[in-house]
Amino acid sequence: VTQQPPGLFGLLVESVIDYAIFALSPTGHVLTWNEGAQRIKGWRAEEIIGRHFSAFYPPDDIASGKPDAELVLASSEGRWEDEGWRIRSDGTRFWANVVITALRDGTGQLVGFGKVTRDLTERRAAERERLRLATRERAAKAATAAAFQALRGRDEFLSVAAHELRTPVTSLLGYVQLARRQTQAADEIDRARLANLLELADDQSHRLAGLIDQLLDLSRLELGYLRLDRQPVELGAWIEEIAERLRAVFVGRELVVRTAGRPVVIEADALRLEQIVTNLVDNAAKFSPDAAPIEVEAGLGPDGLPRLAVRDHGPGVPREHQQRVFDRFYQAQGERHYGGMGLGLYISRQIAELHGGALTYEEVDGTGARFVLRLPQPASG
Amino acid sequence: VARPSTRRRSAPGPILLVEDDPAIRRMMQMALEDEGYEVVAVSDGFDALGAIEQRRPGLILLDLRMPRMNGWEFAESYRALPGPRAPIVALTAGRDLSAKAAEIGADAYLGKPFDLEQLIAIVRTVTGRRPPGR
Repeated sequence: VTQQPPGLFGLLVESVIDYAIFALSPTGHVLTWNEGAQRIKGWRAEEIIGRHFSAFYPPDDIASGKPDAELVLASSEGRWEDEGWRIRSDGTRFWANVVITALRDGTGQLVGFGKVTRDLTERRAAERERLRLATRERAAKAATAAAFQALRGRDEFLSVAAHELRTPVTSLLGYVQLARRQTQAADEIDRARLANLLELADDQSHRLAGLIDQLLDLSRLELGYLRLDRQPVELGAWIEEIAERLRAVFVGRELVVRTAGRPVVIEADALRLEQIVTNLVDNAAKFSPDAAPIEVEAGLGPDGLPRLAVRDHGPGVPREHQQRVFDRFYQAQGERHYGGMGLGLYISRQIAELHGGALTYEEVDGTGARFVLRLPQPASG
Repeated sequence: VARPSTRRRSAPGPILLVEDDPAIRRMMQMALEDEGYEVVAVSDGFDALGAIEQRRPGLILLDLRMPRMNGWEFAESYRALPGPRAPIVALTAGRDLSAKAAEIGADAYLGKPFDLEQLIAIVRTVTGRRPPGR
């Protein structure tokens, strides 16, 4: 290869500083060098001319034969463009846009390759930074949306809770004011009526306390603070005892209890189990006709595991609601309201699961709703 | 020409109290009866329509969230009935009382909880009269 003094065009190319522009021999050896090449790649002309252009590639590209493959492609396609990491003379990397063009003489004979390289490192970094910021912004937006969703949930919760607490507060306030009017009556105080009003106010206070207990249970469950106090419980004797208490609450309601022939002892938190049964019986009373009995069954299921079931003779739970009745506030939502916070079944299921058991709804032949509490293996065989 | 008796307004009907919560229903009934009002108390919109068939009320105190037939549905059915219409006072423990009251075309509303004085005052205002015999 003979070096010829550069003409005007050669001087123009030599002085370009933003692009590395140089020629390669058909075998890939560097023939010429310009200002831009020195600035971008670091080599001075005398250091690089005559060397194979694979010097510009990272070792793994050299190992995979990429430099020669690019010459083959440029030769067959006429032009080959690539973007990727290249190496400077000091060994540092830069992100390059490379165009290799095959140079042919008038007879079509390959005389070499023209190579134009741009350093896109900064542009690439800026692009990546932009992407990173966009990703971060998306994440921030998603987090904000989730936070708003949580706030809406909290807001809905407060609204439901406030609504349900106002109901007993309304009657409590009313009974107390009626009682106070009695004491302020000009004529003689009607003691029987006063006693009755105070009893009604007392009932409403307990109802209010019960709702607050539910809210506290919900909070404990959400935070994982609800702890069970497990003791051996004999299901049959225990359910008879609970039934007596329930009969005192649901006066006039027929409560049928069926128990296993033999004792079934489980390890359970008796107060929490009572909460489940009370809740199921309360629901049964609310959703079935007054004249229809509520059936409570305690013993071993067909699978030999302890279980408790509460069945009513109402319309049952429509199929489309059967899964959702265990959702928080499910019952409390909507304008067709049956009273209550919609927490009973949710809390009951959570307590069942804390015991290692399950609370499910089951279809009954004919009519009626049936909720089944399954409990783990009896404490002793 | 004989006019239907329901058109006569000389003897205003009782207060129809429509409230699903038994404790609130009982409390309101006691408070209103203490004031000398006649009260017919029912637990949902469905029973309220039944009661209206028996006797036209002079005033309706209407809870909004109720099972079976809620306050919205009741108000719609009630408006479709022929004959004179009694004023409606909407009762609710929920938010946006005035908006909800406007939805059912109520004449007034009362938020729960309320003082008995408020209840009595609103009943007097809406009926424009004191209970008979006072």
